[in-house]
Amino acid sequence: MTRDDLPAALLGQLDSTDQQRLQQALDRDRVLRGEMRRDLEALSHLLDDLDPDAVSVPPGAAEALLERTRAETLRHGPGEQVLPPPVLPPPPLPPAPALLTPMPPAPPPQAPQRERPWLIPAALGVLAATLLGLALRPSPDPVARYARAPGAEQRPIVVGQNTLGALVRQSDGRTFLRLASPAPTGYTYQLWRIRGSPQGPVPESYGTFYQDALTKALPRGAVLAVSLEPPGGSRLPSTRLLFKERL
Amino acid sequence: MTAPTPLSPAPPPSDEQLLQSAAQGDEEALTELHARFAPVLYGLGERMLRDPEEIDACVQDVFLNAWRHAPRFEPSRASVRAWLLSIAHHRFLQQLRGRSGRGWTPEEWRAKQAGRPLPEGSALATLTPEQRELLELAYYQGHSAARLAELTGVPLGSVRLRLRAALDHLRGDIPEYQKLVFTTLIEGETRTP
Repeated sequence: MTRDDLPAALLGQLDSTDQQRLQQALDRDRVLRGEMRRDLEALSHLLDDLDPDAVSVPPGAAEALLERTRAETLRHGPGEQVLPPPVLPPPPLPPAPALLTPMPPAPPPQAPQRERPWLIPAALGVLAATLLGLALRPSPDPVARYARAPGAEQRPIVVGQNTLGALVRQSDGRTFLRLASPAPTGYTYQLWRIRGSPQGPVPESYGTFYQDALTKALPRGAVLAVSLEPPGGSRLPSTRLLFKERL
Repeated sequence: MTAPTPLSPAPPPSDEQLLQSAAQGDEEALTELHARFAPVLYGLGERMLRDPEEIDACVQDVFLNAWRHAPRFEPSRASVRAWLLSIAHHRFLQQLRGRSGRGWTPEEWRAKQAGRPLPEGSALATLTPEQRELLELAYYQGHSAARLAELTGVPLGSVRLRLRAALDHLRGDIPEYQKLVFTTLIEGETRTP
C-alpha cells in the first residue's frame, strides 16, 4: 500500500480486504499517515465553494442532537462508549466513523523552533489569494455579521500590500478576527495578546483557531498577533508573527 | 518582583478543545461544535443526497459518532473539520449505497455544479475542469473508479492517476512566484488604525 492507494481509500473505493491492508500499513508507517492527513485536508477543499450562509440547518437540530447524546448516556452510562471499528473508507451499514483507527503512541512534543522559511510566505500567499475569493462571495460573511452590530468597528488586516483578513471590534471590546484562509495543513493559527513589560513585549496565548477567533472584551490599544503553530499550539510563538494589530 | 499580570478573559476554545469538552459531557461545547460545523456538513449532504430529512438524519449520526469517538480523536491525523467531513462523507456514502439513498445523476450533478461560482484563490481553482469533475463525481457521487471510467471515457488506470494528480493539486504547494511576492513581508511594525 502506497500513497497512490490513498485517494481510493478516502473516496470509499476500496473493498474491505484492501481497507484492512491499508489500515495495517497506516498503523506501521508514519510517513503514510502524514500523506493520509494531507490528502484528507486536501479533499476538504472541495467544500471551499460552499457558502455556509446559503445552507439551511434545520431549526432544533442542535437540540435534537443533545437529546440523542442524553439518551445514549443513559443507555450506556458514562465511560461506556461504543468502540469504533477500524475504518478508513465506508464499509456497509451500519454507520461508523471514518479514520477512527487504533492510535499509535503519542509522538513526542514537537520542537517549537523548527525553521520553515517557506511556511509564512506560503501561508500569506494563500491568505491573500483567498481573501479575494471571500470578497467576491455574494452573501455576507461572518465579518459582515459582526460588523452590523451597533458601534462595531471593522478594518482589514493589511501587511504590506496584502490583506490577510479582517477584524471587527465590538462596542464592548470583544474582537472578532477572520483570516482569509484556514490554517495550512498540519498547522493551526494561534492568537496572542502582546503585552508590554519591563523586559520587553510578552506574548500571552489566546488560544488556537482554524480561521475565526472571537476574543472577550479587550481594552482599546491592546495588541493582538497571530502565528502559525503545530496542532495544539505552542507556549510561545514558534514562527514569525503573521501580523500584529493594535486595537 | 512584580505581581503576575492577571489573566485576561479566556479566549474562545479551539475546535479540539470543544471536541474534548463535548466528549466529557459538556453540552455547551457540543452545541458550539454543532454551530461551527453543521453548515458545512449539511452543505456536503445537500451535494450528495436529495432528501432534506435524509440529510438531517445523517448529520445527526455524524455528530453523534463524533461525540462517541471524540476521546480517540488524534489531532496529528486530521483537523477537527477534516475529521468531521470524513465521517460525514462516509455516512452519506453509506446512505447513497443503501437502498434508501437517493443521489444525483451525473447530468443533474453537472447542472447543479454549473450554478456554483468557483472561488478565486482557493485550492479548488488549481484544478483543471476535467480534474474537478472527476474528483467531484468520485467524492460527491461515490462512483467507483470503474464507473468513473465508464462515465468519462477515460481508461481505468488513467482515472486512478488523475484522481491522484487532482488531490496533489488540492494539496497545493504555493506557486514559486507567489512565494517571491511575499518573501519581503512581515517582520511587522505594529499597525495602528
